[in-house]
Amino acid sequence: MPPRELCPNCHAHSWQPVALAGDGTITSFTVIRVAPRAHAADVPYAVAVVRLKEGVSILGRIVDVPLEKLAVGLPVRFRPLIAKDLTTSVGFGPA
Amino acid sequence: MRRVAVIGVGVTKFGLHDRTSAELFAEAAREALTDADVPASAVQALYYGNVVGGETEHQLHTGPQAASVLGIPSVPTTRFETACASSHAAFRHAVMEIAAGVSDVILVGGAERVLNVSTAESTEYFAYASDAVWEQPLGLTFPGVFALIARAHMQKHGTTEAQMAAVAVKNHRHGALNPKAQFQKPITIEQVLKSAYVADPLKLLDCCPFSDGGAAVVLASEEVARKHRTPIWVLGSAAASDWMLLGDKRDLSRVPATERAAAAAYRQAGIGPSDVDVVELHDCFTIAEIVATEGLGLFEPGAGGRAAEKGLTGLGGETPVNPSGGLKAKGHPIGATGAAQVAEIVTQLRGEAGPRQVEGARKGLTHTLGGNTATVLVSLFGRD
Repeated sequence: MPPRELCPNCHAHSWQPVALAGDGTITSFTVIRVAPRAHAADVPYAVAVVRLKEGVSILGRIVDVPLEKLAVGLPVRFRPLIAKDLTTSVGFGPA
Repeated sequence: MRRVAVIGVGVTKFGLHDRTSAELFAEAAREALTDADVPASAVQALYYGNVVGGETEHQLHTGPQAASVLGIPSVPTTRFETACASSHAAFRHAVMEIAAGVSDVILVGGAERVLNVSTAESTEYFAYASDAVWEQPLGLTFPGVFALIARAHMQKHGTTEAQMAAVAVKNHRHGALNPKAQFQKPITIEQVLKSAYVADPLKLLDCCPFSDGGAAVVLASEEVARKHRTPIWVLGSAAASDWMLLGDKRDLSRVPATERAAAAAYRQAGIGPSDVDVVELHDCFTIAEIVATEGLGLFEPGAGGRAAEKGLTGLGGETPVNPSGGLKAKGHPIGATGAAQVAEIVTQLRGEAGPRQVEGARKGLTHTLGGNTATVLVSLFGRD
């Protein structure tokens, strides 16, 4: 995920969309305290790799979870993050 | 295929400079040509590494720019960009060009200048080496990438923050023996553990610094190299890539590109990890050194943290790693790093490394990692 032009296993251009429910668990996380310019106002903020129950993993911001509660194995649920300019990015909140 | 040797090396001091990256490269290149004892007119190509010249110096087309500033404007020149592994990628392509019989003498090098901009700016520019659609908008940084790797390694293998700190302490101890190093001052485990978190669990003293600097090496065919006092032979040079997105990496505690590049380089050289006497590897963060020592086969997966803590990778240990001080203490001008690592291994195999010499070193390895672990190069070297 996301879909590639070719399947990385068989290299065929043939696939079907699969809906993801948005439920997953944290497999690794960090709290970023020195940020790029565009995110400097957000520190400290958490970023985690989340393994979704369908078997794929994706990086996302973790929101509404106290930083000290972050843990490998913590269940989380997908939550799109919408910026002021209406661009969206991947986020996860409490399950 | 023809044999290829390194016959000249040059490195600037790493740290803060008030010169352009091209000028820093030119200083290193002149030193490398003098060391090689070949005239600049013998150079048939320049392969050059530079990463964020467009951002920090408003300079693209950095290959011919570097050649012009050096004073060899007419040689064919190409700039390579594989994030922090750029000049190692340049090196590998030069090896192949000489091995194939196309050229006899090639200058390889790289340079970077980042200390002329703020930490927030350089943090942003380095983050450009991760995915711009899926990862940069989250505020992911490079310390963040390796923090995720560190957490996965701690979770799977029980690696501790103190074991990571041992890597920093060891590399600073080595750096104190290197007059070209950015940091030439020893530090303690307590200082590392008490330094501020940058991206948990990585702290400031787990991270290599931002650096300015340049490095260059002269590669030659066997016929040319035989005239040199101590040619250091390239026994193998291999590259591997991996998924860009962190979510696509199956096991964050490993770097598959390191494992694949190492396997290919060992196969080319006909040797294994136990034959290597000295290693310069990519310790952009302390956890990166631990994971690299495992991926290169120096230690079993999961044993790298304990090996660092026991001192097996220090000067005088079983397999000395980063006698130069590594990226952590020597510094990490990203476009120059791969060439600087080659320069250190060549100096070690010549027996000219002074107080940081690995006694009797005959075979050496360099390992350079690009960005989010999606690029790795490994090269092997030996002396007659």
